Amino acid sequence: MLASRLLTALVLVPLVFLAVLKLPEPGFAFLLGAVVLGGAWELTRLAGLTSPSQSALAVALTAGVLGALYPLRQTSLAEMALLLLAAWWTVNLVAMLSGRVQPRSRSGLLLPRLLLGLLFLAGAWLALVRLRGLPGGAGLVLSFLVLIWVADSAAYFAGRRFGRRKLAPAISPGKTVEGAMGALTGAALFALLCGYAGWVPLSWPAAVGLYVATAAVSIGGDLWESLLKRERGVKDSGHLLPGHGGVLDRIDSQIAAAPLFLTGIWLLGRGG
Amino acid sequence: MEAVGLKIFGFLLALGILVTVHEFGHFWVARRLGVKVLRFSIGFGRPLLRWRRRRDPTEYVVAAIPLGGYVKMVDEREGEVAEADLPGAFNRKPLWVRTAVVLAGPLFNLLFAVVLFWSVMVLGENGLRPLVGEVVPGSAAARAGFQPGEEIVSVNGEATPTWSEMLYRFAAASAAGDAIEIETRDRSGRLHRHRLPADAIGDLAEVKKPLETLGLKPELPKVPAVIGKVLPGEPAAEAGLQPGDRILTMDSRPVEDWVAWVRYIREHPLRPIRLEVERSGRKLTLEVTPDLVTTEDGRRIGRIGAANRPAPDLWKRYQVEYSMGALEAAPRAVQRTWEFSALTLKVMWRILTGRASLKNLGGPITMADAAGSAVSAGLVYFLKLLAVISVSLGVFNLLPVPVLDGGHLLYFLYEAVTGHPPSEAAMARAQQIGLALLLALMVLVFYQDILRLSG
Repeated sequence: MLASRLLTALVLVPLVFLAVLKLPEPGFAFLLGAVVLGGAWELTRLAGLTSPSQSALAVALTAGVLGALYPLRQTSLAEMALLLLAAWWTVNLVAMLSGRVQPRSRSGLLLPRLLLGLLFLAGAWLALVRLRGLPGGAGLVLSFLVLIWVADSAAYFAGRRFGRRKLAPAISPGKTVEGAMGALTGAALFALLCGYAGWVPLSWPAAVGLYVATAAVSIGGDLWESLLKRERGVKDSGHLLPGHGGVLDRIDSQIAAAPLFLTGIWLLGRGG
Repeated sequence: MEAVGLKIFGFLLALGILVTVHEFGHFWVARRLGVKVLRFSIGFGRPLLRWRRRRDPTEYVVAAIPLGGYVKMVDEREGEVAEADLPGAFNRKPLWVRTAVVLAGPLFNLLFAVVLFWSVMVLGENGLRPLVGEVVPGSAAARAGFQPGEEIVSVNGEATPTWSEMLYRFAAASAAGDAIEIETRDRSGRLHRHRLPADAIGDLAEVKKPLETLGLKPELPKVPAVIGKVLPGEPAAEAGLQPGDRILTMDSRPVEDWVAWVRYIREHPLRPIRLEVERSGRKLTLEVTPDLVTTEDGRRIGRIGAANRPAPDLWKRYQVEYSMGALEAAPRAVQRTWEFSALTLKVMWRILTGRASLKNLGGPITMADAAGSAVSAGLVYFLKLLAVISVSLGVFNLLPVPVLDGGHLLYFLYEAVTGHPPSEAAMARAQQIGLALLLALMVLVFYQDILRLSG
């Protein structure tokens, strides 16, 4: 399991670096769109669409929404929408950690869930495309992706080594408070590195604040996807990536964290 | 630091008063309609002060976080309720009672604003008459035909007795986005009408001085350059200047007024200036050399130690006492509250639709800033500011956002239409969305405040 996981990562990570650094912005938006639509496909299953044709229709609609959003990506309207999404994920994280959100077994079509989920996917796509379009955008996107990987890995190892208290037992029994602390610590260290090296247009205290907040909210994305799967009684969202489950399993953290990261760069950034 | 202390004090005072009024509205109506109130709290979080009255089930609390308050009523959705208390439980009351209780908070804020506006009108204000001094050539005002010396009588049909009243009318007109009709009276008493296009001012928040953008400058009295007082031992006294001397020229340049004369002296420290002076009908020539002084902000200016003669008559043309009778003021206060509510809604709407800049948002820091200045400017200014904030608080709380009073009203509307309240799960979700909206708004507002503070 770990072997195939590492192997997939070994192939994927250089590809992602290449895509972010070498592709022009429209190409990046297109490729990211494809990934997001893959996630949308899996989401339609989790929301209770059973026939492939229905799922295909929902994915096509989402593609249309992305196309319509693309010209708006650098407007203040997009900024506001992303600020709202960032706020929503923050509140959602608190709600899930405080136990206010409990999984209930559900069946049948959940239309609000489907629409909201697609909205979140579109929001994350918009945030990253917008980020890519900023001056020095490729570096910012990479910094964001690496941040999430650092946080995920730190959570994994800290959780294995120190993990004792459960973070949100009803939603995701595998997650521990110690793992989450590991993620935040990893994020803070990575932020210090980015801040000192000048990779991002942030002073180092701002970078630490933003990166830690982003890592925290990314845990919320993880929990949110766990909740969807738990309520459907499945383990992985799909089987596309060997050892990693589905696309949604891979990008759940980023979905939640991207709007917050972008908003932070906007509000805290130098000359941005 | 003193100024910061004053600002915080002014802010907490204003907020404390307005929160009390708001919560008292909920509290008073709830008790009137037979709802049992367990706690009346000014502030959130840890109670600092608490007291009870005899035969009164309510505990009165002042709590640590002074940014709001709450009224805790008996409610079965929030916990176990004793059998005896059930008739007084909020959730068991008919819809109209619950609506009245929720509505009372914002309405009390609006009523309070009416009382404040009324007090301001009855107490009266000293204001400057809105006299046009200069019309910048080529400006929007010049194109609309404004002439120097005109007094602005009304803006869009609303009378403008004072300068500040006129500024408010301009703000209201430009927020509405309509063309602005202005009526003026010239020195000979004839009335004129001028029309400014809607886009003449532009976005209000971007423009610090809307009238200057239009090309209008206020008329200020011309104080004649006549010496009123000479300080012994200073350059003016040494040069032989005496009270009553009228300065005619300085270095052969004619002196227009006192302001021009002072400016010339300030610009020429340590340089001899030749003066032509008129003293009881005779012309004299004197020479004065200003001392060099450094001002607080580090500028080096000239000074001769002479003061002008106070001319109270001169200001008479510019000053107006503006107050109303108690009866006359009542409908005006209601009207003013209504206008401010509408203005608040309009600006919010224009921000939402992207037609007004986010810079129109003012958060706690802006409010504190204004409150601090208002406290030191005097009671009337403070009351006025309090009235304006009370209106915004009332209107804001009526917005149909879950968590706010307006959100509860939204639930009640749903209940009135469908016959049953929304499900717990739906309300929990709505609560989350409402919280997210408020969080986003708070981030924005603080961001704007900090930008304003630093820039």
